[in-house]
Amino acid sequence: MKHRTKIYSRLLAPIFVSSLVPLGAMAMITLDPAEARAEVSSATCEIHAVLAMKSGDGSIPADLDFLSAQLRDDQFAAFKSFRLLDSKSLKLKLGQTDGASMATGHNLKLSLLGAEASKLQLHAVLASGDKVLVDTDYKIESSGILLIGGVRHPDGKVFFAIRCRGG
Amino acid sequence: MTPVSENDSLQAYFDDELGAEERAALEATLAGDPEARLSLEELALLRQAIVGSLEAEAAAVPEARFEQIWEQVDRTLDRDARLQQAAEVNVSIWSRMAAFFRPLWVPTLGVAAATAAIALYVGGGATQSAENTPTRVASKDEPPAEAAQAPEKETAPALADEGMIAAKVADTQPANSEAEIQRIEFGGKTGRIDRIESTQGITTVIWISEDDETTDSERSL
Amino acid sequence: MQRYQRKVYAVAYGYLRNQEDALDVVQEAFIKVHRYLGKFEGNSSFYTWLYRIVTNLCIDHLRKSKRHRSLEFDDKLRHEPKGSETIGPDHRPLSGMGDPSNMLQRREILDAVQDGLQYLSDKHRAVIIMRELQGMSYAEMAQTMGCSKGTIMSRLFHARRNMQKILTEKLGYTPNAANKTSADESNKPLKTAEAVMP
Repeated sequence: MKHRTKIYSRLLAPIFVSSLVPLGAMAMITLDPAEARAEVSSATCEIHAVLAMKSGDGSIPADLDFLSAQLRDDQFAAFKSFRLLDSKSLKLKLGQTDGASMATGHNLKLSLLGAEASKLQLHAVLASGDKVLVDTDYKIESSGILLIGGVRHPDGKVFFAIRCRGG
Repeated sequence: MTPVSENDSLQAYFDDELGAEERAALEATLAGDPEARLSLEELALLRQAIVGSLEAEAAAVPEARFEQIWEQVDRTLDRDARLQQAAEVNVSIWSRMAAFFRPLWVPTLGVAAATAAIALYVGGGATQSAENTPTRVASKDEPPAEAAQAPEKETAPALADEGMIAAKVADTQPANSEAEIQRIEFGGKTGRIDRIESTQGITTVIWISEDDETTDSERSL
Repeated sequence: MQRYQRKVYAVAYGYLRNQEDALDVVQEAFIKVHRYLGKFEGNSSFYTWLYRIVTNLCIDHLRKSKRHRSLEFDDKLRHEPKGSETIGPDHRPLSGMGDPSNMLQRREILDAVQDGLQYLSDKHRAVIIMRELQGMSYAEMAQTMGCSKGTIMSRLFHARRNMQKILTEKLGYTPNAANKTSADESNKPLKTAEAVMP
């Protein structure tokens, strides 16, 4: 019984691979080369520093409309008002790093690691002076927002909204 | 004299929403307006009745029903904790597949190489075109024409349902915009990755905590 | 945390008018509170935070369930003649109900209030709960409901007036000048459920 299982296992893999590999190869051949190469080589990134405060009138200002749905989430329920402190824009080329010094004293470095179709692969480092607060690689849809936050501020907590668009 | 009860000021006064100056002015008016004072009294009684009525409803719920709720809360939180632990030690599916196929690599690689060679030979013309495709780094000087037309998924702003929740966002993000965190190191002792599901799709939130002691923690997702 | 359970339930029941739905919201709210407790700092605004979570859950629930009301006051009020928005003696049902301190012992009053809440539109009931039970400011209510403060004021005015009309209908109008108390003592808002509930 054990012997039969071993033979079966030996046969299974060749059958599996020999059926998959031609399919993969045919896909490569038939795939529109333009689709296969749908890459971008640069990205424009906006970085917004948002102050979340425990006091205030509970409103979200018009310049934070783009984040209002997120700021109304329960994760931000501990905060009563929000203020846009600073906005910076970066133009990234593939493989290059650029940084933005925010009015909060934080520095955010971004690198475009790669881009495929509408997805961007980015490297972000948020630092306060010499101290790195977070260092991350991530993939996200073009125009998607990543929030990094919880940074101390005399009036509350600061969150950084990073939004990059490919091309 | 126009009774103050016809004015929004009376309600704002009752709700403590007037500034000091307006408040003083209205109080001066109230002194000579018994109708307005009665309206205020009625508003206070209404508030008292609403609060009292809902408290009575809450008091009527048996304690055992709340105990059931707390048991369910505990179970859910326990499950969260177990899932979190499992996620931290989770082995990727590719590692599992590699382990499964490990004893079969030699025969399968032979067949794979032969099949791939045949396939590449048959499709030579097309693969030639693929070979000319610049690599990511090489392509940075001159982006392919297609890249300029790379579609940006812009979703229409979700409509607020019956006006209960505003969904006015001038610049929307793609519906499926959750970030795939491939590597992360927190400068502080702790950090957390969370997600927000809203009318604007899914947004990833990296919560960082600033601690004095620097510790590296890597978590691949 | 258990000591807040009935307060949270009262708020949820106020919005949803259904015991099981309200208990579901209570459960979900406490799960959220535990999950996000690490992100909450300080005790001063814990009520606000907790209530905001409950409010959001209730509004989400209402949006999903899209219950149809048998009676909507919004449209009816729009067609009322000008000047009818003044709160007159015929819309002061509670002032004539005798000693205010005994009011909450009277089952018919509590039931009439429940009926009133039942017949209000979702929006009107929401502003009533937010203001009377949760003690939210106009600005907080406007943010939560995604509208202007002016809209909140108007909505609250009509919601209260509708409640008074329903109570008048349920309880009848019985002028009782002898039981009038000083309006000066009632012009400060009650500190809602936080203060009133044990």
